[in-house]
Formats: sequence, C-alpha cells, structure tokens
Amino acid sequence: MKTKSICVVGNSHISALKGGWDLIKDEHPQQQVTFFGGLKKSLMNLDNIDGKLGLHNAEDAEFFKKISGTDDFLNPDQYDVFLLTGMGLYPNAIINNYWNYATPSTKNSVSAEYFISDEAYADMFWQEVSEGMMLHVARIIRKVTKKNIYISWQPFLSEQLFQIPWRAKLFEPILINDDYVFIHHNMQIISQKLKDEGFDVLMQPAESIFKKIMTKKCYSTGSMLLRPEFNQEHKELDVFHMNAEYGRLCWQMWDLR
Amino acid sequence: MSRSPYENLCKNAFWRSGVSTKDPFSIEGLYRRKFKILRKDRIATAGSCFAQHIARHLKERKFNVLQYEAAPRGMSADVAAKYSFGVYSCRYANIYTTAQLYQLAREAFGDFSPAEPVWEKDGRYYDAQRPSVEPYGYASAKDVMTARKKHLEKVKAMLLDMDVFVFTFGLTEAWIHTESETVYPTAPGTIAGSYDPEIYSFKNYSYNEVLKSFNKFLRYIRRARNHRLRVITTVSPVPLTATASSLHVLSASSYSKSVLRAVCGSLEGQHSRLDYYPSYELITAGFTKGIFFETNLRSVTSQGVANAMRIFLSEHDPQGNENPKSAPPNFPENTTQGAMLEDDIQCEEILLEAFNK
Repeated sequence: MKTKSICVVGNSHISALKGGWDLIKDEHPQQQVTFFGGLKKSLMNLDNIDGKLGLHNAEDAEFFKKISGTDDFLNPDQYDVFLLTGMGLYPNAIINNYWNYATPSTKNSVSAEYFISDEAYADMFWQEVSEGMMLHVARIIRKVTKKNIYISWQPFLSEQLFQIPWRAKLFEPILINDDYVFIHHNMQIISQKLKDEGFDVLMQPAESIFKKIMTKKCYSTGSMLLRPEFNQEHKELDVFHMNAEYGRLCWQMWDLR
Repeated sequence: MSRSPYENLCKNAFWRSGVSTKDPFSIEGLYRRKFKILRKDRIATAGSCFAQHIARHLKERKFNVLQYEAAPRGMSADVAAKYSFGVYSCRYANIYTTAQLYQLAREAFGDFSPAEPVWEKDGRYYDAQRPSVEPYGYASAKDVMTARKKHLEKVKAMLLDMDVFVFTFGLTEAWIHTESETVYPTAPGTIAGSYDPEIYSFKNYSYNEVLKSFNKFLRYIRRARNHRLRVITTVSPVPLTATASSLHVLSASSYSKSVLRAVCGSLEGQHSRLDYYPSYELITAGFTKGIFFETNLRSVTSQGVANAMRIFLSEHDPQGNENPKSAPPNFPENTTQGAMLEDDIQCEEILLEAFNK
C-alpha cells in the first residue's frame, strides 16, 4: 500500500475494517486511515455542506464526526484515496428471489414457480444498486474529487446463516444447483457498471469465502458494533457483519493506489 | 286525458335533465351496481389498457385483487412495470380482444396451442401472445416456451380461483394466423416477429363474433370451476391508435367501440351475474366536451380516470368515498401528476404510431 491518507466511508460494516486496521497499523506508519461512518441508512443523506461532506440531521452529523475522530465533516482535500464499504452493495435481490424465480441461466426451472429473463434480474439488481446508499455516497464524493474511489462489495453472509432456517431455505437451492455462477455473474454486471461510472471495484478476498456465496465463520465470529461507546459484539447469529480478522485480510489483499 | 309512458320517468331518463345540464364531475345515477364486491372476494383483472386503472384503484381501496405472477421481492416499481409485473392478475399484458381471452383460457387448460407461438427479432425470441412482457426477449425459443408454460399454470389457477372477473373490452381489430385463426395481441412486426401476408391476416371481429367468443369463454371456464363467477365488463374509451381496416381511423374506432359497447349491453342482459360499468360513456360522451382526453385526443387524462373510478367506487365502496383519494380530482389539466399517472399505463397498441410516416 503506497497511499498515505485513506478515507473509509461506510455504514456498520466499517467496523471490520476499523478493527483490522487497528491490528496492522503499526506495520504501516506512513499510512493514515480515517473512518467516517453512519448508522443504518443515514448515509443516504450524505451531502456537500459548504465544501465538506456531511449530514444535515444533527444526531447523524454528530455520529459521523465523532466516529472519524476528526470532530468534523469529511474534507475531501485531506485524503488521497477513498474506500467505501458495506452500504448494501450485496446481491440481496438475486439471492432472495432465486428459489422461486428461475431464468435461462439458472438450473432451478423445475422447482421455481416462475421463469423470467436474466435481463429482468439484472435490471432489478442495478436499479437497487443505482438507487442505493453505496452509489449515492460514491457519486457525492465523485462530485468533489477526481481521486480514486474504491467501492468494495459487502461481504457474503456468514455460513452461520444455516442456523437460521428461513435464510437456509434461500441458500440451499443455490448450493444444490451449483448456481453460484448466476450470483457471481450478476455481481460482475454490476461491477462493470460501477467501473463504467469511473469507480474501482474491490471484491471480497477469496480466502474468506465459503462455498462461493458465503463467508467463513471464522471471519464473522466476534464482529463488533460500530458504536464505540458500546464496545460489544454483534448478537451471536448476526450473519452480516465481519470481524477484525476479516478487516485485516481486506487490508492485506486490497491494493489501494 | 292522454297519458304517456314517459311521464313518470325519473330525470335521468331525459337527456336535458340527465345529461346536458350536468357537470361531468358530478353526474349521478349513471351506474347502479348489479351485485356487491366484498373485500374478501378474489378479483382478477384483464383486458385492454384501461383495465389497468380499475385494477390499480381497487388495489388502493384494499380490495383483494389477485396477483398470481408477482414481481420478484425487492424489484422497484419502475422495473416491475417495464417487465409487466403487477399490471394484471397474471403477466399476460393487455388482452385486447375477446377472441384472445377465450384462446388464452383454452391454452391454460391444455385445449389449445397457438400457431407461431414465438416471434423473433434481432436474434432474440419473444412470446407472440405477450411480446411486451420481456422487452429484451429471450436467447432461445425454448426459453420463451418454458416461461409460457409457467405463465399458463398461473392463468389456469387464476381462472379457477377468481370470484370476480373484471374485463375491459379494447378492440375488435386483431391479427391472426390465417390457417389456424390463432389470434395475437399485436401485429407481427410491431414488437417482434415479421409480417408475412401468406401467414398472417387482419381480422376485424363482428358483433356476433365478439359476443360469441366472450360467451364461449364464460361457458368454458364455468365447466372447470366449482363456484360462481361474477363479471364486470367495461369498454375502453381509448380510440384506436391505428387501423388496418382501410377505413378512416375515426370510423374504424367508432365501429370498434360501438360493437364492444353493444356486446357488453347484450351480455349484461343475458347474464344475471355480469355487470357493465359505463366508463366508456363517462369519458367519451358529448357532455364531457372532450375534457377527459389529453391533447392527442386519445389518452385519457388522470382527471377522467379518477372521475370514472369515483363513480365506480361510489357504488362498490361507498364507505371508502370518505377517503380523500377518491374525491373528485381538483388539480389543473396537463399537470405532471396527470401525465405521470397516464404514463404508468402499459399499452402495446400505441406502438403502432411508430409506423405513421
């Protein structure tokens, strides 16, 4: 990593990168990483406020400033590169519908009730992403800087999801039919669209992936809440958030220029 | 002292008191429902573009409008509309003719296979019976047929389950496969396929043919069903975009709408559980002075739709009339709001305008 000043922006998922950075920062004394975060969907309202990026809602604004340690909004001039994480960039729409909506590219046309085009899925996914928090934040930052903006895919859900019956029901048919290719293909379509808009795209480190569409349990166990004052782990069956080891792996694998 | 059979009739029986002195926004007594629709009744909708308004307004009033081919979870309204999800109770797109409706029912129950079921365009393949539902088509004819098979299963379920069927009569004109008389919703070559006069021909259905095919449809599904069906018919007030009849489009439109209106009148007389709702009259009659049409004199304004639906719902959901949504429309003409509502409607027939050179 040659970059000097990295600005990480995201929702609760920045916690993993923050924890990971704490584990390796001593090995990178020339680098500074600042984390700007917003809880839930607050970053959907990220805006340019007098040349800095911040939030209008007082409570959200305070959290955004406080979590960064700067006590200020995001000043884009102060950073060399931007890394965006979490914020719903995840193939939720594809995975949630797969069991009941087959396409010419999937292998579930016998069991699924409906058969629709691949294009319908791709349009649905892109609409979700293009109107989602990740792209809103990316586009707001792009308006004020030409520096590199890296968009990272939110990690796949933890393999722990098999302890949640309704989630298992969604994933089982994908695994049985070996249709991870369909999920990956749709992610590639989105990645290409993001690249076409001038963003760099970072994939989840392969080492952390379990059965192509999940994250290994060892990278999710012990994930921490973003609110520093709580200093506690997510609930046991939180399958969304990853731990500091996952964050460390990302920092090791991602080449931010 | 002489007496006249007209002397004790109500004011609505006379044009001057019933129509010419009335404001189209407050006309009363034009529609008296034949039967009740309950919130629990399973309502299915189909037909021409205008039927989409009825479906939407009924859904807004929390009626049980069936949805057998719902959009995937999380699909936005825009994308769902692009792929014809949620427009009708099944994803059959517009059914303009009664011949196509009867044909669809027979196909759903396995008694009919359409000729030339797949149309091609630029290397992509489309369902000839609903070419607009997948705007990019499929990569193969086999995929089209797989999708159609799944669709027909849903249509069959809908036809068996529904308690109330709302159907809007749209056109008398259609394109058919000459040899088999398979009827299509669009002309070959409009969305997909290609017009070959050796294979396809124009058909302008007569009064008798329209009436017969709708009655056949009713008889056909009655045999398979185990509970009574109530039917609400309407006639689309939207004139033809284009005609292939060799008539002037105005005459062709008058013919088409007159036939459909007359058929609905006959059906209403023939069937005790079939009602006719006069949205056609409410929007097109002279007393409206054309205010319910957009400047193209074809598209119905949102005020027109709202007014028509207000009268429909005042009979079928009078309690709901206290809801501000159902109050007479009060926004100026040609507003963005009006345009947006009208633009929400899916109408393949309008694509014919592209051939107007």
